[in-house]
Amino acid sequence: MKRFAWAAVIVAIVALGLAGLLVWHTLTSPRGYVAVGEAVPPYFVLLTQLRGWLPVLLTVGLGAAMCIPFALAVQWNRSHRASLIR
Amino acid sequence: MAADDATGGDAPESIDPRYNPVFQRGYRGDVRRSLRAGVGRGERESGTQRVQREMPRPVSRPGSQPISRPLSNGEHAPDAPMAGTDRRERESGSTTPNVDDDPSVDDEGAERYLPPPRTNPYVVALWVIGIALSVCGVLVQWWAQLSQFSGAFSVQNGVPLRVLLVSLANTVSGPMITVGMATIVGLIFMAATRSRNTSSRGRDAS
Repeated sequence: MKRFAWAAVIVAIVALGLAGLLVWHTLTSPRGYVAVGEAVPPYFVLLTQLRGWLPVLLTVGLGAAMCIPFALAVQWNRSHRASLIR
Repeated sequence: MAADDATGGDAPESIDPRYNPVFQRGYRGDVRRSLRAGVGRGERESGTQRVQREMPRPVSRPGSQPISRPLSNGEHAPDAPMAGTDRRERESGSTTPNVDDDPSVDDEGAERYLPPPRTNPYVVALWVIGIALSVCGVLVQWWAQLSQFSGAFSVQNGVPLRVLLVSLANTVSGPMITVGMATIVGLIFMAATRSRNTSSRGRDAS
């Protein structure tokens, strides 16, 4: 259960971090039309293309974050199983 | 009473001192911790030694002086420790000290015999988070839909920030509702599993 919880923590951090980066890129990128032939940095293109994955990243990140209290709840139930039997 | 807390409270006589109380009905301590502590010991203990180690010991009280009665030859017998000289203990007939009133009793032992809470706090937190995520997702979606058609905007000077926020809200609300609903479904599934285990256990006991 500890491994599962730590895996959920890592997945949540990575997915939500990438989602936050995409949100930041969306809000801070120059708004308006880019003129044809204007130099655009590669990271800008990459983040713009990854913007479509934002809902997936948010779903995975939030779901992994929810797995952490689920793992803690299961651990709590196991540790209190003896008292529940009594 | 400490002895009642250690042995079950309602049936203190059910603990047989000849055997390890961990394996007897009515023992209210942490079974896993006790077993783990027993496994880690270098030398094996007999049942009596373990009972003596686990059962609470009498402690001396400031107001309870040992009583020494004069012998027939005028001398006093050597002092012997005597538990249960408190008025309340004499009335109740118990000879074990009261852990709640005595600060000299170690907190670790008293904490070990606290009754466990019945409600899982993580499940409560998950219910709150799941409902909050679902409701907030719906509200964000509602706001985005209302703002989307509230008026025309010009893109000649760039896309306004409000439009970006509406687009972002449209994107975020879907995962929020999905994860909130999945959390609620998971909690219902967990409750169903626990109730099934409890009912099967009760059927086995009857």
